[in-house]
Amino acid sequence: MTAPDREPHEKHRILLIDDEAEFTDLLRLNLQRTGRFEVAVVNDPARALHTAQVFQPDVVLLDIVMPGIDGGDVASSFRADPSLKDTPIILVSALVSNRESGDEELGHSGDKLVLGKPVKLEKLIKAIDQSLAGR
Amino acid sequence: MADPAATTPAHGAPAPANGSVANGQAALAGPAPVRVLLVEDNPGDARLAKEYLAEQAYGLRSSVHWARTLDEATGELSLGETDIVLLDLSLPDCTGLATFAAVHKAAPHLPIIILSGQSDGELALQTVREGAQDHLSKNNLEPELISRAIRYAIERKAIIEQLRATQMLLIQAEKMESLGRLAAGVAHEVKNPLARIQLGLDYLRDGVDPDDPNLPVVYERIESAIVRADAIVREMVNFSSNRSLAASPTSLRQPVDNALMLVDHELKRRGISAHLEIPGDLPLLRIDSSKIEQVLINILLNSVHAIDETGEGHGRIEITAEAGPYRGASLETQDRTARRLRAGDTVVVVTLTDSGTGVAPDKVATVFDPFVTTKPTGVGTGLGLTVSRKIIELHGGTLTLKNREDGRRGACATITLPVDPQPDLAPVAPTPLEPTTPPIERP
Repeated sequence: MTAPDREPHEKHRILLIDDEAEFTDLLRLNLQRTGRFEVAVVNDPARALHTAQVFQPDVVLLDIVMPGIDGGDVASSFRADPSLKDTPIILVSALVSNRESGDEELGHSGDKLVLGKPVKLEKLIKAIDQSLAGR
Repeated sequence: MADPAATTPAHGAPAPANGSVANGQAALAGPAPVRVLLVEDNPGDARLAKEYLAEQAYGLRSSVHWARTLDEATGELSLGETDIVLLDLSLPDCTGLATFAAVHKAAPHLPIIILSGQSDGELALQTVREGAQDHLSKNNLEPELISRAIRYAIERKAIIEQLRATQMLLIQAEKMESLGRLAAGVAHEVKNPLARIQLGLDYLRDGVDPDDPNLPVVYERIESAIVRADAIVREMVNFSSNRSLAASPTSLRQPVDNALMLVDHELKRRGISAHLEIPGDLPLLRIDSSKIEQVLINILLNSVHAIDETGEGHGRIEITAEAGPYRGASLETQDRTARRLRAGDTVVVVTLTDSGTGVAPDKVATVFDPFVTTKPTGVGTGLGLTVSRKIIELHGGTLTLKNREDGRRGACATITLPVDPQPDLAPVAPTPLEPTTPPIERP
């Protein structure tokens, strides 16, 4: 458990890292509306590590294709950080083909879940729950 | 054939020009007579020419329509019932090169033979450089000469038209290859807005609370996603459309912005930034936007590849444009096409400079040769720059590629386009209005 200790009923912290603010806006609103999540957003991948160190998310949703630093670099920087190295990462990318993400099943890339854009909220929350359960 | 208009019978190789030329014998019954439009204001000269043609020398059967003015000539040409034009440049309503330009513009696919007087021999030569098939001195006309000139002019023009159609096919084929390379990136660029629409829908699915303060944001995000996806797909369709060269006054920003939209993903996923320095008051250019876009995409993809080769990431591409007088062909381009630009012509010079590996010294001389490629098999056909240069030449301009001269590593492509080009060989047709696309935010 890498997140700080907290009350059992406390909301799960989700960090969204994607350069498209239009996407993260909508995802944040959807996740907040469930009442189950506290959501932080990073649109500039260069700030991802610092924000994550402060926010200490339970799950990270990470885009792959971003200008400057791509999702792979961000994931590596998290794995190298003692406070984030075990934090589950879900890759959410438009690059993913059907075969990688599966239609109903969730796909995997190494230790990370992979979701292809566009993704339904239901499937996304299922992936978050699976990640939370596996921590 | 790229341009259906190029194949109408009026200017395809007419039957009499085929086969029988070698022995000078034509089957009397078979082929339709060659339809000659004789544009000549002097009745005596016209009468002589008609009588010579009536002799059917060289086996050439013809029917002659006589026009005395440019106005009559263009009216007759608009009917599309002419195979060849015999043109006197001095007419009551137009003289000199302008006469040729007007007739050539009215019927770009027709062969034109200039009938020159004693004093305008040099002028006649100039029309040949501008696209006339031949020139004959009126003082030395003979039946054999005029008939033979007509036959060969029709044949030559037909061959030029065929070559042109083949060039257009090559240009289109190369464009499809570029599209193939861009397809995955464009698909990605469309999936992103689709993802936004999906999440917007998910938000609205469980019922809408009219007091929800987030609703305007959700609606706006869905709508902007649709606009974005539409713009990308539309641009892809526009770009892939198979049109013959159709130039119209266009802002340089149009092909530049469209090209950047299609290569956006290729730049983004490599962390390459694009910087534009295009003055807002640049004169409009008489260009085929989609063809210029093809050239820009080609150069940009080459830059992306060259930046990849450095293995360093975070590359940079600068696009600048500047209007000014033409300063002459640079030494690397001892290219026959450079003659079309004359010193002092107003031109727009577009440069694309990258931070890639540059051009290897032993490749500088051959980069425009067909099938020369430094890319791995499957990445490039080696036709990109060949076709790009051809496209720019068809616009009366020049394209050069060399290494940067500011001491940094990288290549610099320079496109020089005339602001007010001479009448071009290219048929000129109005371009349908291109849908405008929203500006792209550059990193």
